Amino acid sequence: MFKYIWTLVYWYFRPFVKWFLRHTTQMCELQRICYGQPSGAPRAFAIEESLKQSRNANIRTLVAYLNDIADQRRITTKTERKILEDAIKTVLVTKNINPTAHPTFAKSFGKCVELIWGYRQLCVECEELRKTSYSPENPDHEQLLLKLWSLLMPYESLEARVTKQWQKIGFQGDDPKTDFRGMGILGLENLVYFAQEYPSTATHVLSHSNHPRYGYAFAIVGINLTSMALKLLRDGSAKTHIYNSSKTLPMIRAFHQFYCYLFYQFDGFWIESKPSNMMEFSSIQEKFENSIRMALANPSTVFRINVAVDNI
Amino acid sequence: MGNCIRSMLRRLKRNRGMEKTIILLIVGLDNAGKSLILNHISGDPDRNVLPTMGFRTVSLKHNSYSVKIYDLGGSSQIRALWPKYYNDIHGLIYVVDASDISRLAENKVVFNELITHEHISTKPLLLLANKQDLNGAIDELDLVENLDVEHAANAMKCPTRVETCSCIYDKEQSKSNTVGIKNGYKWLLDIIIKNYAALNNRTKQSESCQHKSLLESQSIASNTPSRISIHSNPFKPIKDLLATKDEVLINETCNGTSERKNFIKAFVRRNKTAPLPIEQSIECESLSRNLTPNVETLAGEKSTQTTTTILDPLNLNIDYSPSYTSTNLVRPYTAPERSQRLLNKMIINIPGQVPQ
Repeated sequence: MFKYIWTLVYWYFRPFVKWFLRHTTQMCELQRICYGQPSGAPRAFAIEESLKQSRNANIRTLVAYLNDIADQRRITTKTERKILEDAIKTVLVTKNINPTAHPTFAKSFGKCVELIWGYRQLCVECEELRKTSYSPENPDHEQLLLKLWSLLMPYESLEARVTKQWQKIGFQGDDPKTDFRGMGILGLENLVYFAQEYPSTATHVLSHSNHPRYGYAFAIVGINLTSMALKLLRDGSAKTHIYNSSKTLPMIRAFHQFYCYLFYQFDGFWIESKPSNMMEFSSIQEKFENSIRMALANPSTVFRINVAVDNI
Repeated sequence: MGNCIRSMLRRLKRNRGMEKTIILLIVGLDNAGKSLILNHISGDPDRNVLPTMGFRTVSLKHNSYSVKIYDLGGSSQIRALWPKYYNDIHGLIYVVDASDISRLAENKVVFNELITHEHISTKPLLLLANKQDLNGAIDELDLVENLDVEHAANAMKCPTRVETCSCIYDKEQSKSNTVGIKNGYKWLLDIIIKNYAALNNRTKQSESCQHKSLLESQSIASNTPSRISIHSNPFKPIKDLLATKDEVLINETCNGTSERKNFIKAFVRRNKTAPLPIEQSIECESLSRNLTPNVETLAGEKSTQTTTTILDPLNLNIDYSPSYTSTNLVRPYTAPERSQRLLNKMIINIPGQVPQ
């Protein structure tokens, strides 16, 4: 009830407040945010909100245009510069900002635009990878799968493509292809990235998963964690981490990094909670997700894998 | 005011629901489609299903009963944990990927192991041959033949129904494919509701028995004076042993009489070849009579069996002798010596004892 009244009041009074501030500070709202908020997630959140609520026709078309481009995944390192310049120019013209008087504004605003729509594009990209289901006919997929094996089990060679050995790295049956249901090729890419970029951490986690009492199925848990990471990405909770950690346009790498952190943390969380058997997985995963959400609620959160542990 | 009434109504509802809960279990090999079938039953159209790690619970409503369904993961590591759930359930759904012929042998092993479990026998079972949309999927007759369902279900007196189904469908054929799931589910619930009292009693009873036997074995372990088994003749008549045990129990605890009953119950429970209590066998008879026709033939045989001694090892589990009603235990002579079981129990406690 109170919330409804507040949104109504906010809707009517926001322009007055903005008008008042604009005339006292001689700056538009975007400028005030760029100068007032610390860089990273807090600034990007505020800019995103401000742009979303803007009633200016130019800004609205700009937002729609950027959304469209991100949904079609047309922001690449090549086109990025031009798109950002266009966006900055539009804002400078509509808001009557003198670029020579405010050189830092253009820069920090451009950075925020890059983060916000890069994230949107990342969501689309991950979704597309998820929809691509694993197919044994595709040589790329097969190769990726074999690569995963050689990365995780360098001292043991596969006897055949379909073999019981796959269960050693936590697949359910003899043929891993069916286990990628639901998450498609994204689950496999996540696992391969983890094993490739953090080989010592991955083997560390894999050895934990073979623990006689607290063991779990490595690959299946990995695929379940892909689903969790994707869920966090979709509902925007992962924004905090991505905005804070990205120095440039967020690409699929950022998602992989996020995933690696989750996997590493989950492993610790699982061992720490001392489950009596694998049936406790869903409840522990729920707890884990809550703790991650709590951490992400703080706008200054950045997740980094603690490399020091690798050396032990 | 309204909130108050609503919360009271809800509490009332909950209290009523507490009394009648049906618990079902969905099992099968990995990638059989268990989670998707459960999604269909619960009316959730989400087709993106992950490999189930551990298990998942879904609560539903059916008439005045609240239905709780456990969806267990099918990977070989998790299969070892399935039996922990057998005790609490009223019915079972077993899902087979009918298109994957290479795993039928594995399915047969797993299915037979499942159905011959003591907590599963006489409980209703729904067998789903899933993935009929794929080429090369076998139909229900082949499945029954391959898994040897008829023999196993008759031996264990499980009312069984086999349905074909598929969860992936085009719009025009949606009804014909998923109707198997709906029909089977409805049949399973109907049969459980018909025999709800008996099934529920059984789950409760075995639960309490387990609990008691656990307590009992602990108390035996702590109360047994070690010299009995070391110095005295280990082949004592069982009556003497029971008597000494009871004395100890009476000395140790105030309510010795109830403990004694518990002890006998627990003993009966532990000893698998001993006859079951009479009410249970009546239950399986009533189950078998109004359920499947092929079980009926077996029920007919039973009347002859009671007069003669039973030699079929499969039927030993379920058969009973009427004399059991008064805790006077009459055992079929095919059963092993009664004393062995108890003595083993005690010998375990003594370190350095050579097993006999």
